Amino acid sequence: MGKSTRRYLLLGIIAVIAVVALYYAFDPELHPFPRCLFKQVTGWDCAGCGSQRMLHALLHGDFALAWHYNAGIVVGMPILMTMLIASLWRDKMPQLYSIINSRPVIILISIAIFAWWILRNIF
Amino acid sequence: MEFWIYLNNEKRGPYSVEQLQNMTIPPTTLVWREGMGSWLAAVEIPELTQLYSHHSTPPPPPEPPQVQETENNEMEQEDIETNNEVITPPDFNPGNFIEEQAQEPSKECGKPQAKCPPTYLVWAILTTLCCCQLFGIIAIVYAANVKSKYDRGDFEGAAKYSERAALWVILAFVIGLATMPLQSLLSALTSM
Repeated sequence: MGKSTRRYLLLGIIAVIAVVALYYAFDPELHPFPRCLFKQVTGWDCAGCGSQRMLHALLHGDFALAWHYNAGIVVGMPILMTMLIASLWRDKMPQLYSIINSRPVIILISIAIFAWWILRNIF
Repeated sequence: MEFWIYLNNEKRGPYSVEQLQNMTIPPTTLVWREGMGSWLAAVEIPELTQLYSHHSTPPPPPEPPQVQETENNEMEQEDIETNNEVITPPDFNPGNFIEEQAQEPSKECGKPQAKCPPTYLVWAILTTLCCCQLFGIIAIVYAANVKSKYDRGDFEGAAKYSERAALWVILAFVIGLATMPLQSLLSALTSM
């Protein structure tokens, strides 16, 4: 990891702490948080809709409520974390990075996102 | 059999085994001959190991006493390995070497001669989920093609797609931030 990468990592950590604090303190259900444009226009949920409320619920330990707001992100979060770590420490785990960024895996992830996007609007 | 050696940051050769014997190159010197995929230390090359065996100098133990020096050597070797393409000019052999590299680049993203450019996949996915679906999907499509282009030996194409993936993510991020007040206002108005 280079010097600039380390600086970005530090900035990233600060940003994550700020976001966690923000979503812990405020319930997006009650305050004017940014709302998904796709939802505003079409009225349908996108794959990520509800993730702000989900995060608030999760930070307060309410897993059931988090699941209710966006189950897809709850399931996908560990995967996203793994991907993020693999890309930050790419030199240490080249194999994992290579697998995650191969075309079949990307296609699989894309299908999962689209499937969640469609299914959550049907059921 | 002709050998090229990498000495004092310079590629030299071709030399025959006899010539190398007279030159008494250190065992850690990087050596290449036609047919080899990458440069290796002289002791690791079968034809050259004899140079060192009958000198009554024992083969280098796994951890030699002069730690600092070997560390430097190792670092130099790593540098050279990552820059393989640079130090291997086309006039240096009948093209076999370069063709071989282009056809079968290392399967692993971490080690090859030209490193696989980043795909920015995580950011593309986060963009799709958190902000701008359209931009995110475009970025994912570009990200999906970075490594397959790289694996085919199209390093330039891979670099281009990597940059485009980054561009769409940054674009989404900037637009998302810029419209955030508007979005908040909208959600405030619609929730009232």
